[in-house]
Amino acid sequence: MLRELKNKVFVIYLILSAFLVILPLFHILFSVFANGIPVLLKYGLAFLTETLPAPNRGGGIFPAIYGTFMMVFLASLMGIPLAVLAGIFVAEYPNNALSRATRSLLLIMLEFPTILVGLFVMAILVMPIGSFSALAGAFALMIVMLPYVATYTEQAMRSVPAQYKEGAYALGLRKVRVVFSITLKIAKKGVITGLLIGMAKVSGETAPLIFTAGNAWRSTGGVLEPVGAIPLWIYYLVQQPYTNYHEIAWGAALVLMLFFLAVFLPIRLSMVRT
Amino acid sequence: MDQFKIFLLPVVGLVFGIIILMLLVFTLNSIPIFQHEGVAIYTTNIWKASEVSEEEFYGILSAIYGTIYTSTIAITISLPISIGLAVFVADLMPRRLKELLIIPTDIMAGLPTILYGIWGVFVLVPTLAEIMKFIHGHFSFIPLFSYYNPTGFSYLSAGVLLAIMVTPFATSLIREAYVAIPNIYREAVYSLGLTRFEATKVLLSYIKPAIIAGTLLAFGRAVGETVAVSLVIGNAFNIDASLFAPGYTISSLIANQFGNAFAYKLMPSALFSAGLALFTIGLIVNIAGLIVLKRWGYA
Amino acid sequence: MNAVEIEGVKISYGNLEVLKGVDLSIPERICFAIMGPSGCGKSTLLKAINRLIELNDNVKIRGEIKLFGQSIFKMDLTRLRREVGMVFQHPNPFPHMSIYDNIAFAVKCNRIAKGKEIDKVVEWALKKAVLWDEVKDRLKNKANQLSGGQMQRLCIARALALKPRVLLMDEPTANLDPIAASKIEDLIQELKKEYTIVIVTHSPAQAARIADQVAFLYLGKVVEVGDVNEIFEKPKNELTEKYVTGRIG
Repeated sequence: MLRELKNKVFVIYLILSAFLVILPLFHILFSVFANGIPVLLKYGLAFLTETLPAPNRGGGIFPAIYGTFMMVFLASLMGIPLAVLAGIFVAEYPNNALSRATRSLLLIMLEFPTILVGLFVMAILVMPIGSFSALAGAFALMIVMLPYVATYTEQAMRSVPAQYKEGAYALGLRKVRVVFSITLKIAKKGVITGLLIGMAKVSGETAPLIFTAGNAWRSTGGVLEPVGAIPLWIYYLVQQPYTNYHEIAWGAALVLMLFFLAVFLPIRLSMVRT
Repeated sequence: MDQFKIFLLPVVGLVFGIIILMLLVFTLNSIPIFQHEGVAIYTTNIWKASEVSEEEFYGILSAIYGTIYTSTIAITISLPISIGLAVFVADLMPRRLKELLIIPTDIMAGLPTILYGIWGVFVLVPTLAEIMKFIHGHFSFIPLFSYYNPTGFSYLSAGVLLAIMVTPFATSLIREAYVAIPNIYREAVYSLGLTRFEATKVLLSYIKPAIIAGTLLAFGRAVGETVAVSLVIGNAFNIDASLFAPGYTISSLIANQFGNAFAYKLMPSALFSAGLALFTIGLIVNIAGLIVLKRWGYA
Repeated sequence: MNAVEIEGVKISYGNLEVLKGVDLSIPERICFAIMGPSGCGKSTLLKAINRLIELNDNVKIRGEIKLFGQSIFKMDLTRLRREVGMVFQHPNPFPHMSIYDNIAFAVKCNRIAKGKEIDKVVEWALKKAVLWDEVKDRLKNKANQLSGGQMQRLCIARALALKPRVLLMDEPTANLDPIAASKIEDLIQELKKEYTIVIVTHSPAQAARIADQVAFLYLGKVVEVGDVNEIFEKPKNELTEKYVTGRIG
């Protein structure tokens, strides 16, 4: 019967879709492990502490790790207060036009091509200063991070039951006190989740850094000097013709992936339990 | 107005300020190239860098073409799979096991894009190159497969990689809309003696706005993706119908050319105007997607 | 032969047993009302008859249900649901589809009619549900433009179009205003001449108005079943008496 046949084909299509989505994911995870682990074993601990070697020598990715940590730290320092306050504004004053516009803006920023952020920061920071710098890279990452942290903060603040806030207002507390001492405290877990997701997200970003951080293979410079970053290194190393650079790229990819999974998986798994 | 609100306003102003400043920077920096050649920057496929600024001429049509071509390939592959997976998870997986599929897709959605890039270069491109050579050997009379001597670095590789990257996002949007269909309609549809296929068709038509929004937002993501694409697309000023031909996208053009742009007088401006085009395409697609979602009541 | 035969049916959601052994015989071409207070399991029982209850996760069904002598658990699911139509508590025509398509879609899928014949089936069903005159000029309009009572009659038409033998109704007037509700009740009186109607209601008054036979369900068990006059005039069980006189429920 044609009707039954169509239905069977449909169910096969559903199963096939699931397979087609999961297959590349596992292949990517598998490839990074399979290519990365031998590299880490071969280079040893030096992989994390040394700088880029000449072609066909041993060495490590320390400048990239250094740059990533420094820029993510700086970006968080600048971006988190801004993002949390923006999130508070949207959550606490949900019914005016400005707040609705901010909310839409944050959603648009979430989807915005990050290469444009890099180009923008190059124009306003790198060109006037005259040099790539960790600061410019961090500023670009901050813009990318902002909408993540802000929307998570907003959602966490909104999920706080009204009775707690009403209770606080009934005691005669002012709005500032209620927001910072009551709502934000109760929403703490959601806000922290947002911070971590935002940090994990930008630590893997490449495009915003190409024209801002510059890159550094062997030096670990200050805030106003060019620095490396793990994703940036991978991007450049895979374009080189040397085998050992490809190895280092795979090793760096493994480090980056482990870092991402270490932040992301516990957060995601804790969501299942609740 | 209370004091707290007044205290927060500058923060919000700053967020808006960043975006407005961004638009301003892109527009102002595009002006020199517009003065030099007008809209030809968007309508021609010429890339002539020269020390003599009068001889410089830039047209990014091939990059605009490549952006739309690769994103379309990505959506064409991704949409049916995204819908299929959404329905599979919602209707066929036992409740306890659903997370086993949802968590991997969430990981995929957040995975640093450079990891897709390195996998694309070393795994996907060589694999697809073999397939391309085979198809080209047998079906080269079809224009889609006609590119001479395919290397694997091509529109198709970029499209496939983008499809893999946007599917987790698209499927979770569609899945959330699908499971949110009120139970009364689910019961109604199954009370009418329909097969699973027929019933699902009705339910999917009910969430059509969410599917359209998911498609638009996924398209927007594909348009904006930079590093993974620039590593596999081959980076060539090309306008070719063949899936196997190398090309450029706007974002990969910017990533690739900016390094040496400042050696020339007008090239930076040309690349900013490319950025402006990307800005506009991204904004239109994303706003359209968000409007559809909002009408539907999700965003 | 009885239209529906329910034998020792027990249904549980996880560890919660909702029906604790129900036996009922429902003869052909009558209106059979299942009444009881909310939470007594009457909707669950109704949805067991077309196996819609199986849409829920972790539901467990034991016992036997027969449709005209045939076990529903051995029937093809699409055939079962074609022969047993259902009308729900919330009027639920598909809001994104036209009035016409709401009826025509399942007609097409189930091969009730083809081509031009479909128009006739739609018209027939809408007339049967006393909705035709109100919507015949706007069949292509979206179904969500109808009033609640019209929506519910559209749902009845949608069910009738599949030419079912049994019609299940789950509190079909619960969400309607009194005038719309009385229209539906009149319609039920008309339909029971041709169809077997099983209606669930929490209102004894409604059961008394429209049913030929009534079962009183309480805490997952049938307390009493019989002709409508018997149940309301000389109930054998004290609980039934309390319920029909409004002292419990």
